[in-house]
Amino acid sequence: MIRITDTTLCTELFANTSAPLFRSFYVALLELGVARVQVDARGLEKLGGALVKERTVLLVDTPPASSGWPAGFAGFLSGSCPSYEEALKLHSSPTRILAGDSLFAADYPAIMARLLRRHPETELSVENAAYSATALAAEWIQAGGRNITACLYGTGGQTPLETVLILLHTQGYDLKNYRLSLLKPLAALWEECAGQALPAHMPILGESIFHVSSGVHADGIRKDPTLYEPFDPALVGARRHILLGRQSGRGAITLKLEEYRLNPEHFAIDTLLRTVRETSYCLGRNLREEEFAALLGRREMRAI
Amino acid sequence: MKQKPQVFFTDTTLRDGLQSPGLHVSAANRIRLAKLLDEIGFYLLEAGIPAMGTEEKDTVWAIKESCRHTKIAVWNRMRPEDILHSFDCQPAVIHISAPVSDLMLRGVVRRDRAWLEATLEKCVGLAREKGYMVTVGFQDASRGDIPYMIHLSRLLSRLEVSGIRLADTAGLLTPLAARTLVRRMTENTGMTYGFHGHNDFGMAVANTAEAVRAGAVYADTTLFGIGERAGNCDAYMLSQALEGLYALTPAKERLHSAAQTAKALLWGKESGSGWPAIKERKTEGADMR
Repeated sequence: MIRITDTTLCTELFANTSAPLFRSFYVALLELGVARVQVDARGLEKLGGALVKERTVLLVDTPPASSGWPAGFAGFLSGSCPSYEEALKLHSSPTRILAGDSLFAADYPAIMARLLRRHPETELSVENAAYSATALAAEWIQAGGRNITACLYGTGGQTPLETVLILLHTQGYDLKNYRLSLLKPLAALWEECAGQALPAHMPILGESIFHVSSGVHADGIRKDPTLYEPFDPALVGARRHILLGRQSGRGAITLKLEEYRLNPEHFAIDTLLRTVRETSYCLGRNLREEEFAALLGRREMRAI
Repeated sequence: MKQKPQVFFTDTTLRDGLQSPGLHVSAANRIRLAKLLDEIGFYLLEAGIPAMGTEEKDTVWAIKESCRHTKIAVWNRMRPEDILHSFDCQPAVIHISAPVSDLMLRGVVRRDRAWLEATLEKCVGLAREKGYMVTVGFQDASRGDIPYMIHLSRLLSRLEVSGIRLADTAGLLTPLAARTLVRRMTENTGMTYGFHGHNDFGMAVANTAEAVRAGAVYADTTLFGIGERAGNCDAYMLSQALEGLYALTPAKERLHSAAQTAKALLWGKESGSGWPAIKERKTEGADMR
């Protein structure tokens, strides 16, 4: 089983999030299926009665005396965790090992194998400095590791939760403990908590990543969606959408007509394509739905 | 002192990048962008797709006339009629995209490997007869059969193709898989390779960096990583990942200094539709416990 500790709520972006929103995000993470959620002392106060101790890792600045840890939590963290270089020399296994671009630049398959021989249950926390965090987290799992940390959208510069989950899903890992369809609602909550919109093109959850404009891609998707889509949009509650513009081809026109439950055989596709391209050039953008409808001589159309 | 290996960035902002959903850049701004890419020092830029029609050809011509150093390439499907359209633009490089995986062959063109080889040979032959420098893109190389792609590379080498671009078309590769792909291709053929990554799992930069380590000489990038779906490999981010280890063309600083102008040409007064502004890498371990 792959166990993820989500650390989003400990990032600076969530420091001023209101208690109700903070609680909602915490509950949403648990419902998604992450094994543990990390919070600090301030976060703990905000959680109040929503706290599920056995799935919460508490981050503290100063460790209490050995007998002073509060009971029932999934784990505790204080001070700095060892880097992967330090962990290679440790005999007792740390809770967490830190890594970043220096691991990516090194022989990471060999280093991970050595780390996992010593510390099979330790979790790997990867900073995304070399844009390699998803890859290293996934390699850790492939090498036999079971525990990683992640943050939605890689908040705080760490492994993005959504990319590592969907990547592992496409690689055939057993994620039955995760409800991947809850990633989209979690992203909406993230926007509320952080007070900013997520980029439309962000991997996995971006609003526009399944919008198709190029003719070659539209044609391929019409024949077999797996040719140009790395996973089914429905997996994350998204839908494919065809954009018509100067780069459209016959496949895009056909798909668009089918989107409106119209039979492409009843239309002169080449003429329609030429008009779409010319209109797009004149407008300086893609066509809106109503503009395409007007080309077809229809006032209203509704996509399925 | 040992010389750093050379890596050349090849830009596809004006072709793959402009397939970014909702992005529309006027012909005038495409020409200005090309001039900027030329000034930044990209080794090559893909100016467009001549088979799209007269306006596209006119834009490619204008791009060619406005660039002084960068090689101007045009993109072609593996169709003889597309190659003929490209002749109208007289580019420095004719790039032909070949669907090499069995999945693409069966799914898109609904043909077999024999057809692929015959058609590729015909298309390359057309361009080479006219003296054009030809590169070939292995579309969906990430799902391709490596021994077959080695065979194809040898065939293309005999046809005097200058280089092959291995494309992770659906963005499925992990860095280790990218390493294996490029290493096996370079070790088994005398061909020069480039790599074209997609960012579906946020790994375009990591995959391209691994491809370079494994022997790819050309790295396909776009400005700000724009492109269809979650985009392509971000040129600046890649330069951050590779700096210090390789001699980069263009240098990171030149990409940085041109960012604001490029952003204005792509998005005008709009915010950039959420594509990232150029940002400096964090120091490792800065925000972690």
